[in-house]
Amino acid sequence: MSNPELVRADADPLMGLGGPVTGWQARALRGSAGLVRGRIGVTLALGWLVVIICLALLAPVLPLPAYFDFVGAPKVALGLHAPYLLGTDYLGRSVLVRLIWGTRISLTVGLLAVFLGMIIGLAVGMTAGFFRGRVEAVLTVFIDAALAFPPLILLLAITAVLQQKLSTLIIAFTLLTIPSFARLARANTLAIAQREFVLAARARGTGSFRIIRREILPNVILPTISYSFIIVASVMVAEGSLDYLGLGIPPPTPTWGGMIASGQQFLATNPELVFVPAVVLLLTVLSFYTLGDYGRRHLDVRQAKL
Amino acid sequence: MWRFIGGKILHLIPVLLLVSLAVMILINLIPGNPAYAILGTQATPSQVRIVDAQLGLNKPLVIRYIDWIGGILHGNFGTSLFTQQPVFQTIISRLPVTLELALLGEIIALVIAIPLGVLTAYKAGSLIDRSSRTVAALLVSAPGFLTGLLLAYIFGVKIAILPVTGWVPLNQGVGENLRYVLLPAITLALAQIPIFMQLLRADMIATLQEDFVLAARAKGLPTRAILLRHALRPSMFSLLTLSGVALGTLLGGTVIVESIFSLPGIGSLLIESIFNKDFITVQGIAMFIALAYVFINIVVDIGYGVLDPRIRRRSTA
Repeated sequence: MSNPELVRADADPLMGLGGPVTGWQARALRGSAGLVRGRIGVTLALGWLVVIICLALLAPVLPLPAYFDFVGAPKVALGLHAPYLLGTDYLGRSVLVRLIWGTRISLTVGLLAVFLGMIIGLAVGMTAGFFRGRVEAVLTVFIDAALAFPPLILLLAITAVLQQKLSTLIIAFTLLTIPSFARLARANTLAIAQREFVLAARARGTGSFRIIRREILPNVILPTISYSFIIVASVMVAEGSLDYLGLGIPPPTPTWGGMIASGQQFLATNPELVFVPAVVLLLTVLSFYTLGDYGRRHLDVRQAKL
Repeated sequence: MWRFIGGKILHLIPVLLLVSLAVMILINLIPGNPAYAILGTQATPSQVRIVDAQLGLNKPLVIRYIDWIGGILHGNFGTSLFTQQPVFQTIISRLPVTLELALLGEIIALVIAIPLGVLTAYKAGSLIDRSSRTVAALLVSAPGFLTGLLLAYIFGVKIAILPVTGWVPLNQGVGENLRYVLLPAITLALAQIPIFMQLLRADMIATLQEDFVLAARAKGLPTRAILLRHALRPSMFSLLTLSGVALGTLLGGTVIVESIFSLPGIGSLLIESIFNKDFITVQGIAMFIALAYVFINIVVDIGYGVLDPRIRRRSTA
């Protein structure tokens, strides 16, 4: 029987956003058979991410029209004869070009916010897990308070008061991801700090900071990085949700969520306007999730046979 | 027992203080003077003074915080800047929609996930098990608005048997109400089913290896009785905990679904308030949801401690 404290401790930090699940849920899903889980799945995921990252980086130099250019009649469905394969949106702008530019926003927010959240979370979590005592008690209260708050509400509240721009989103998502990274880093540090090599380092009279850097960090960082891929997936879903609600990056900048929202009113006649960007988002989220899950299976200290 | 409950509640106090402080200083995060953010740059100084007074910005932060907490303890979440209605009453008037949605979504999820969990645990490794878990792995990755829009497209447009937007309150006819609540509730349920199912399956597989199951089998009890009467109950603890927690999450998590299907719940109230720059209402909703969330979590914690003494000992130790 699972311990509910563990269940809770690992639950998805961005739950309620409909993103991929993390932690124990991922462990529960672990054994599932199927395409997405094996080597093939990892290869496909990597391939997809390489393609979209290249497209996103090259967007300004690719021989494509600008994302605000009108390239044809409005609402041309996708197909071989459609302008730029994926057709046009409700104003006649290229869906493909807008998707590519939307990738830049999604990836920037997802990768940057998670990277920053991971660095800060690692620092906080390792400090709490290594020094224990009062330091841990204080930090745990902060982590608990942050996690006691429904994440989407926190996110909406932040975007409500700050201007809707890229830096706001990055700050908001960084804040949102810190506690879950801190909790994971703390849990892993607690486990590592009791191992013999840490004891040996202590016996040699090594300083705390050096032990953290030389003994703890190398053991904590790998599971944290694989976890971070899963968090990237969650953040991308959340960012897409914000854009969908009209609270992310404002138009005319193209975003996946924004494209889905603007396509929704044509759901009856032109469902592709909703489902093409939705499928792109789903594939990207699945790819990050697959890579993170693969990494976890191989690197998580709780899983690996020590 | 009481020590366990007391400990849980004591732990809550610093958490709630921090949460409320964070919600309170939200308005201070607005760049420049919030009054201008609300009124626009054309506002006259006297208008700005009135809004400042409404927001309490003419008082020091500490006084404002104490006033605000005092108000909330009396059920006073402030007055909306936009409609001039008390925020608390507006929230209460929207609550039934969100509550019905969350509860129904949860019930649908449990009704589907429990039999599936039992079946896949009993037939672990079979075709049913593997295929249902592959579908589950896909479902958990799907963003809520994707499944919602897909359902809206299939049942609202292609087959056109259910309304895609709008709402009929429960007291104006249960049947009509159900038609409107069904698609959004299924959308919420779809996100929960794979999680619930996998959790129950994992616990159930562990239970099925216990000696008492072997004993039951040796007595010659039918499989159905073993699964449902003997094995299911001890396997349900984690599932019950999680579904409680999930209910708390859903109170704040229906925003997207309410937005897709244009339902008049708390989530859409929050979105409206954000667009209207009605910061008092945003603050009130944020605090209300955070309180409900923390409250449900503590009830789940205590409930679990009551059901399973091992947890009690572990937490107080």
